[in-house]
Amino acid sequence: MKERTVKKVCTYLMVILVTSGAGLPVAWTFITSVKTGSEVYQYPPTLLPLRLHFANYLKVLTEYKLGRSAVNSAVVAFGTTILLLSFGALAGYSHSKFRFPGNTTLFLLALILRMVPPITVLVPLYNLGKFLGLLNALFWLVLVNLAFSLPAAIWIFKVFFDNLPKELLDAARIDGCGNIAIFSKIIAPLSKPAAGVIVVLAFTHVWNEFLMARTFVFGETNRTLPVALEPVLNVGTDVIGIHWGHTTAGAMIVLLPLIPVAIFFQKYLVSGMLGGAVKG
Amino acid sequence: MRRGAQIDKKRTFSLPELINKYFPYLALIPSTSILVLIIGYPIYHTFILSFQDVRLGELSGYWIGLGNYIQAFRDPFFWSVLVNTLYFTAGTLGIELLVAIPVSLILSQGFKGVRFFRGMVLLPYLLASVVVATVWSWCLNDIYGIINWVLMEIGILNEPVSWMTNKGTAMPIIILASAWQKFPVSSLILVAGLQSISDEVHEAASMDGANARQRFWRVTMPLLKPYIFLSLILRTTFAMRQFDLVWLMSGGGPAGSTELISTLAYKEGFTVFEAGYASALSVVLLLVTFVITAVHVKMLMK
Repeated sequence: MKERTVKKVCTYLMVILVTSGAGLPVAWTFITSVKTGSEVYQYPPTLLPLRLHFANYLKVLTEYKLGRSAVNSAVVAFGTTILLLSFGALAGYSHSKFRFPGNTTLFLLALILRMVPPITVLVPLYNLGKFLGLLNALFWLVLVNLAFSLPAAIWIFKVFFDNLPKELLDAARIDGCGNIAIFSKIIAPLSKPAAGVIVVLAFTHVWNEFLMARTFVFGETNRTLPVALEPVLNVGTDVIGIHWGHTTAGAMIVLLPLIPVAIFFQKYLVSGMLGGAVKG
Repeated sequence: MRRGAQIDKKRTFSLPELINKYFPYLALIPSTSILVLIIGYPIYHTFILSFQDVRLGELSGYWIGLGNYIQAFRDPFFWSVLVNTLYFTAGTLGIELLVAIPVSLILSQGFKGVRFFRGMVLLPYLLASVVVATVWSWCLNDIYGIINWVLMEIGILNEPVSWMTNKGTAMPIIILASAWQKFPVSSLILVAGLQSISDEVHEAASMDGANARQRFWRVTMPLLKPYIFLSLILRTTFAMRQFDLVWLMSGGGPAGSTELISTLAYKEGFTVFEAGYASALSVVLLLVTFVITAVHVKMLMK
């Protein structure tokens, strides 16, 4: 039927368009990163590199210390995620399975806090960090990232726990389990799907986070990966002196670790985004 | 004297028992403390600072009431920055939605390679803003950029365009880059919406004689409305506060044409150290975001 063929053609056209639109710029960036300096600046540009040349990566990892910055990013991402899972699961469980005055209010408050842009609290946080002596410390970054990720995590856990049958917990209580045992032996193991969503979303966001990382941790040895890449990109109108071979290599380094994370947690990533749980 | 069968209950304040009894409350302590410490109290502090003439690092300064706000409202640059922010938000949301609708339609059908397609759709969302900025700044480079080269080869351009230093093209480019990065979010939200429409609804419409186009506009789109609004609400919140891409791609230039409230507030607070003015600007951002979201919610409720 004509209608079906038209639909099919349109679909395939759209697929090709979107795939190239999404993929080609990134692919081009990768190709640039494996070219030698002189080839990067060739005009007309060579579509495929003459040879694979990884010196850019070496230089950027050692001389620009992106290797160290990557470790810092990993520390912050892991730290935030672990705390996020524990604090979020506890709170989500409390909001879900217990009734007491103020429970709903606190939950709604946590959700509303999601509306606060980090920039609005950046100055007080800087002052607070300075006061606590935590400026330039990765731990402060963990705390602030934790705070801004908590509302979503609590919400995800609460909704997930809401779907757990109450009978399960009642049976455990009859068997004599106290709250602590219920949480650690029953709730925690069952919460893997929710945890999966939170792990992939939180890790990705914290790894990529820029504004707070730039403001609170600026030392060359302490800073996270996106912050370390900024001077290599050398923003704005000053284009002189950017070696795009290095910059693109640095960009690939920022991207690469997330690919296995995304592939491994793929179904959680999708279900998390389907539920609108993302930081837009 | 015999005491009788009285069992003397020993009062044990054992820790596990206390934790057990107050578990729901204790469970909320970790997250609540973090939220109060990092977000709750600082919001209050930001408001206080916005009414003062104070430098970064000082805990309090000279009280000037609405002085910072008046200074902002009297400054034409502030208004152009506000307009930029709204223009940016509307622009990126518009493009995202425009792309998300067909993409979500495609994603909700199973076909060979849909998983690969979904992976490609998700790719831009996984990129840090530095990466997006690098990718697009490099592709749009005026001398060596691949896009200028392709456009010239095809014949659309006669000479390379300096996209980022041209006042007319800088903001549209940033809007495009932002939409490119964030369109997966709206796409997936709409996929969830499409999945919630049962096949029977479509079948019933077909049997009533509706063709594909009618089914789309009269059945699918109205049922998608709440999801479209959900993605609008979600994305507005995050587009209004956009900082990273603008900071990294244009720094607010050329000539302030891409300056957003967030970048202005950041510069005021952290390069000029005017904490009071910066706080006032960020309060304005918070309030404008609230208002726009409230409007969206109202429209959703209708």
